Amino acid sequence: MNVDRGVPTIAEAARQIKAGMLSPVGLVELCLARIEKFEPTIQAFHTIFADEARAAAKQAEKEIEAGHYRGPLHGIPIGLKDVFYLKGYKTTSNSRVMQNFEADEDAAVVTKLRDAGAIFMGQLNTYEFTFGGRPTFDALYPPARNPWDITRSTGGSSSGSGAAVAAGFCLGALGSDAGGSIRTPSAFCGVAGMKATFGRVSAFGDLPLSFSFDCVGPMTWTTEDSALMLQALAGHDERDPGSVETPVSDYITPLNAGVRGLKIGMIRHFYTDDFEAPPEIVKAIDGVGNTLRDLGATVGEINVSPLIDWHAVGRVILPAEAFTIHEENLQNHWEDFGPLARNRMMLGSLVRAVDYIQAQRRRTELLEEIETALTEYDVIITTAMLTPQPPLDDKAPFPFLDVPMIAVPFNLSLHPVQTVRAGFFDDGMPIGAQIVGRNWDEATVLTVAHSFEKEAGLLKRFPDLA
Amino acid sequence: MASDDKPVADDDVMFEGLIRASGVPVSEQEKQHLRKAYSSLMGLAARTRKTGRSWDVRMLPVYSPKPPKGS
Repeated sequence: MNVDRGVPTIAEAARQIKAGMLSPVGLVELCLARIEKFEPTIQAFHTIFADEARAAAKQAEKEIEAGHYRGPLHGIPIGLKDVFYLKGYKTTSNSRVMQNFEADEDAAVVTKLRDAGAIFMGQLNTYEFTFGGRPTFDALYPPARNPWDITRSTGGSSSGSGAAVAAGFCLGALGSDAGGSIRTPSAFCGVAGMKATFGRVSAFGDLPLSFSFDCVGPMTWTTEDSALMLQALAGHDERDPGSVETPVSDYITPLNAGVRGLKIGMIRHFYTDDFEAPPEIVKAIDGVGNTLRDLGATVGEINVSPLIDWHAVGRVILPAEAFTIHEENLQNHWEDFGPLARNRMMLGSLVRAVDYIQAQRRRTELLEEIETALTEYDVIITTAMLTPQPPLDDKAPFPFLDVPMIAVPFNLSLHPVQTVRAGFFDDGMPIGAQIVGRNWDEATVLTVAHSFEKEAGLLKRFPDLA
Repeated sequence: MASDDKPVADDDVMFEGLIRASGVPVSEQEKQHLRKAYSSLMGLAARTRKTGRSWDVRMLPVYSPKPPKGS
């Protein structure tokens, strides 16, 4: 067992559970021991399911011993971002507005994980109503802390998911992403995260932020683990109007196919010209391309519209849709929102119909740029972060209006993206890269990401929680 | 109408009107923060426009009708 993070990866644990060498009960106890020791500092959870997890682990052990092994998530401890419907429990999205809300059924992804035999460790922290920017200190629960440095931001909104996976509180977690909410905390916390093609994973039962951007996906230590989770999560669901009926590929078998012959396009101007990222970021992201070239890929450079154009579209559409969703609560329960979240949402009330539609039309043009690039290249690579992890207590109300959003281009374009650890700052904080693929081709994205991770060997560094 | 009589959008009037129309009881202090953010937001909104953009450039459909069963 790899004990450097205190817990094994999903793939390692699954192999051992299947072979009868690791007990789900022991694995859950390992996670609970870490939670007991480190959670008071990290604050990754809203609710911890210690008793429920122990009972589920015993049940899983019985099933496996009886020969009813369900697959690689059977007996694996997983955390759920507190935005997913979970029958019998409250779903709060870290808001006082929702503190008594209890759904009468499970979110689609919860059902899928339950059916795969996953064990739920608890509900994980999020920025209030998943609105990114900076951590919300004024919400129902205090913000999660970055296990690499507890004075720094985890990124968001899937803040608890990033922190819990990095801290070894669970082996994987669910996140949601409308403007980088899986990819930013993955990058900031040094873990892997997948925003699949829009419509690939059902968003039924995910408390929404944006009708046209919301995606649900896995956050894990390795890309191999992301593939294992995505395999269980993907698939059509009639209850989600955005869900698309299209075949789900095998994400596991091709992981070791390598990158020889693939064409990789780097969008460098996002982090060199459009925004001057620190040299460590430039070096790390360029290094991803160099590593893949060494492995046999052809690497070129792509030029698309400046990052500010993508940011502008995202910044008009996202608050407008968020305000639409929360209008009634904002009118009637204004005082129950934290000021940071409610003011971010109020921006949406200032977007006129013509602004929104013009932004959506610009989105169509920008999407075509990525589509065109992906006719020549198999995947695109760019950074997942433009700055180091900011201090946790930076309370600027509208920081996202000033620093461009590096994740939003691929929310606009709908394409699948995997975030991988690409390097480290001089102070030891992790740096993340985005690997973007053609619509519905998560398999190639995961293969490229896995190849990079194996070759680069960057996952052998762990946060020091002691 | 002479060109110097062309109406110009008044952002202050628009901001006040939109906040009032929202029906949300925003405090005076929060309104001040929002007014600054509104200027940034409108700057970004201007970037999404393009002179001479073809009418054929449409919004993405989020909800599309599914094909009938058996087709």
